[in-house]
Amino acid sequence: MEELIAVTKVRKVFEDAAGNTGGAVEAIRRVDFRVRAGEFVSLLGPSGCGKSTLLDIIGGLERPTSGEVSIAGERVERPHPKVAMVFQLMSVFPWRTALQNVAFGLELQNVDGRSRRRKALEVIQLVGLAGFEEKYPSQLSGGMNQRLAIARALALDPDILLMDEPFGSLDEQTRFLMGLELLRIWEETRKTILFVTHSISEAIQLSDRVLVMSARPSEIREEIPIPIPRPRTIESLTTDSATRIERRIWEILKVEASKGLIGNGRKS
Amino acid sequence: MDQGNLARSLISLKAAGLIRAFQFLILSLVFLSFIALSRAFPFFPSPFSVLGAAGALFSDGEIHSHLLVTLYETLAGFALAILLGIWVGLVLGLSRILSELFEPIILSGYAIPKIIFLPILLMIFGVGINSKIANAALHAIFPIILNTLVGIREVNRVLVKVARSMNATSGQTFTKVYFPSIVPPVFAGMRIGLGFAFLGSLLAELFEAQRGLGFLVAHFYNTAQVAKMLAVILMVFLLTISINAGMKGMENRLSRWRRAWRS
Repeated sequence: MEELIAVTKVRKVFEDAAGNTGGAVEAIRRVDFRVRAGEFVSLLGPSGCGKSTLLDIIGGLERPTSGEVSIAGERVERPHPKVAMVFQLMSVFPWRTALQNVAFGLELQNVDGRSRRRKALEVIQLVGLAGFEEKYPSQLSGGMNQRLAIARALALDPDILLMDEPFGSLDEQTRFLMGLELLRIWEETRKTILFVTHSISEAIQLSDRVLVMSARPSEIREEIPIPIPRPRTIESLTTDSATRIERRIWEILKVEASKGLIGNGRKS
Repeated sequence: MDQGNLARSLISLKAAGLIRAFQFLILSLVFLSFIALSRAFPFFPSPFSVLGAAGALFSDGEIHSHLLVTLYETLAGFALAILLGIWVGLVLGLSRILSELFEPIILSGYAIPKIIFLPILLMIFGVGINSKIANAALHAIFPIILNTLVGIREVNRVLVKVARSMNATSGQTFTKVYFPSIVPPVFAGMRIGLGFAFLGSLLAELFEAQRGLGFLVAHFYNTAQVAKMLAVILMVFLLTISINAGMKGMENRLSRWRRAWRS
């Protein structure tokens, strides 16, 4: 299969506000990985390990200090039109209705009103928000707002979705159900998804592969394939082999997370 | 769910009723103390003669020109304050260096009794209408600058990131993210600013003027026409309340999404 995302020797150092290297923080030491078209890959790591920074670099919002990212063979210098990002909770525009939120990206591209509306309605249907088009985010639940954020990203017809802990502030049950919803959307649309999370069970529930990251300065500690058959269900996610994967990831993360606890100055 | 909503709206209805009753009580107390004052001090007119004086001022048209002058000064000063204030607030809010340089000055400008600068304004703009407009603008501008500044600073960074990730131009980021985000705080600043603009024009008229409601109050005071003076004061009071209510209505219409949040 084709390599859609290639991350090569990416390193990121944040200098302090004055630009002194003395106060510099090395967020990412060296990260290398590839994602094939249609894959669902998770970046899993302790909080503050630089995984959001890494996602921002892949999304073209941050420049790496060295190394490079390419999407479909093209070096990323700025946000790639075939990539859409989904952020943490409350990234929707509170002053826009659901429909207007979804149409945001199309508005930026000056798509005419009628096709904008058609596309937005179609995507709203896809994420299961039909009937809520005219509601404001404040009238929707956390899970529904996150569907909205996903719909807004999908409206641009991206090939790749970069998701930064999108279900991070949802409760565990809603998070699990949103995970199932995301898998359904992924299977219907065949997007490539790179998903940042600090939840082991979420990473296992969703991914083809999990890239376990170290504490800062981060590297990829280990790549764990998740051979659990799809569609994934409560049953298939609680078999012995699934539990073994979870235990294995825990063992890696236990070490990293406690390192993170000691030197956790900067939230990334 | 429906029952909960019903209960909540019943409670808020009851609360609204209580608040109305309380406001009515306060107004009656003011009215009664007015009567008491007029009994205690012979120079203090009764509420009825104040209302009579107000009617007379209107029917003989004496007050019209003064009212228009004050309104003109206030609104012109307010408009200037909006234009300059939002502009300054935006520039400072978007530039870290400029805001570090100028924010302390703006904050002390907010705290200083600005009437102290009136003599300077009189020297620059003369004793006519322009110095009143300048004083109104000077009074109104600080809350507008500050609220714009704070509004810009508190724009949700994630929303800016969303726009950037979709390759928004900086113009689009401004009109579609920054601008709607700052509408509520800027409007709140404008509402405070309008009250201050009134203060500015009236103070300047009290000090040195030939026309305007402030001048009229001073004039009736100096000529011992207390009932008329109180009638003008009452008018200023009603005027500011109704303008403020108008602003509030406009604010609500502009931020429908927040009302949705409250319901």
